[in-house]
Amino acid sequence: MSAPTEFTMPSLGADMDAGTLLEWRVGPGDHVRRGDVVAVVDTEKSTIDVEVFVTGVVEELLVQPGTEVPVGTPLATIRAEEPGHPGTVSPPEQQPVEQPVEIPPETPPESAPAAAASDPARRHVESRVQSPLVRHHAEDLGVDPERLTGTGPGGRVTRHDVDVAARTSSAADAPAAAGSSPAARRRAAERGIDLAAVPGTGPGGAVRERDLPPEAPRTAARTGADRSASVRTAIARLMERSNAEIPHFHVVSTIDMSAALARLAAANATRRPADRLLPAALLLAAVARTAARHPALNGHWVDGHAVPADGVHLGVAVSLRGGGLVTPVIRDADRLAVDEVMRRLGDLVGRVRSGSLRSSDLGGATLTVTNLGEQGAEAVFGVIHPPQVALVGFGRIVERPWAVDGMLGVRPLVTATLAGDHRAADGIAGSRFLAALDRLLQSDDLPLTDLPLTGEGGATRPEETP
Amino acid sequence: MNLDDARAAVLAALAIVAPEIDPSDRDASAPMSVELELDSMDVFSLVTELAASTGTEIPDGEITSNSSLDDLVERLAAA
Repeated sequence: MSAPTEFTMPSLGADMDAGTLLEWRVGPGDHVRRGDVVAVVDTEKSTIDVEVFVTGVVEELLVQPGTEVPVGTPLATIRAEEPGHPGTVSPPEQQPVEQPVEIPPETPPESAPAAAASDPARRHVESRVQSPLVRHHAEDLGVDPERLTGTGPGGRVTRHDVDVAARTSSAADAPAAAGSSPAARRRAAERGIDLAAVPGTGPGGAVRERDLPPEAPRTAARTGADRSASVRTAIARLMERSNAEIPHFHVVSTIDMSAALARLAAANATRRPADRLLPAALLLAAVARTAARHPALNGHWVDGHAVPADGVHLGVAVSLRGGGLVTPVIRDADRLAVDEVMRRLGDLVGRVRSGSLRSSDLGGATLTVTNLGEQGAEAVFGVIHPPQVALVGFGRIVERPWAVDGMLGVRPLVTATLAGDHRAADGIAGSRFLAALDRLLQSDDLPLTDLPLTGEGGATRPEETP
Repeated sequence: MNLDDARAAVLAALAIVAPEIDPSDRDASAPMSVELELDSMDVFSLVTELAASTGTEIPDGEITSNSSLDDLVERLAAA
């Protein structure tokens, strides 16, 4: 059996130093799968559903709702299942898959209430109730399965044992403490409710979880002006730090977008609205592929050294309507066709605007892109998000006179800028980055789709970068 | 589709794409980007939503964030 894993307050972006735990979605003894949302955390910028990164059983909750703690603070302990156990390990880039409820054969879940779970002496007691199904059934019936004598193999408590206990629980063999279900006791302990004062609807008047008074809405969920002010504070702190620490340089290039926009228009002409591509997605995909070949500008500055990143995880600046911005992340963006970048971008913008970001949407960016869009100014000279070492900015695409092959014509142009950390790289590296970006946008090398192309604008599928 | 139906469809789609925006006190003849703070992704979502709700697929590029709500209503009614 492995040691318990600490589930810590995650870093949900470069601007986050601390977060407030708003709510637990799990309790001690609950079985969790990698990717499950286990807690809700409030940062200065938004309320975020936090996913767990291991599959196992929650042992102990270490932080109470309403508490603000620094990034990295242990929030809970989780006993991870053995590697190789079915459903335990999934590759990091994969989305969590739906799996049937499984019965952990070797890892006994704890169904003890919070008070007992925090008692170290009880933490390692083998539970005789190993099936979550039996445990849930017992909770539904208001029976504490830990108190039952099991008739199953190895003295395990079975569903039948629970049913028998429920039928007889009004009799005197159930002592006073059995007057509430484990789930009810756990929730009551979390919320500081005296169970003796709650009328129960379970067998023998046992208090069940559903008998507890309704919970107030999320306590710390900030709204309106309050949220705008805290978003501003978070941005201010990050930008101050950036300007204080990072010696910025900026390089600028004007890029002719005719070829790239023509490819998009040809593709979009045959597509349904939901499948169309925006220039923003094309620019992001192009930056990601360029970044993969310019490691000096894709990474972090750590302890006085530039550390190139393993993959390209693009931070995308998304503006909030009330002001301010959030920078969720498109992971491994250099491996994605424009199609997929467009889908991810749409999902992220939707979740930013609806306030339903998940922890996996945030953190770990290796390079950030800001795109002013259709209403923006023509160029943006950005401020790097530490500890990243560069930021790419795009202004509005504008039609301007432009000389091509000695002839003057009107072309759609975009001004691309790169802000670099001069400790990590020099202006020449930034210039090469923008030149490579320009070449990529003039070529057919940026795949619009991952699907085999069938007459879509006559484009041919380019080789994938390995 | 007549103009009234088109306007109702546009307002319904807007309520889905940007529920926090109340269009009733906004200028429907001004660019959506200025008046409603919609960006190109929002307009993409609007056009997509309208395709699903009305079956009308507005061709790519005909409506942008520089278009007004009135432009969108008229384009939809013309389909």
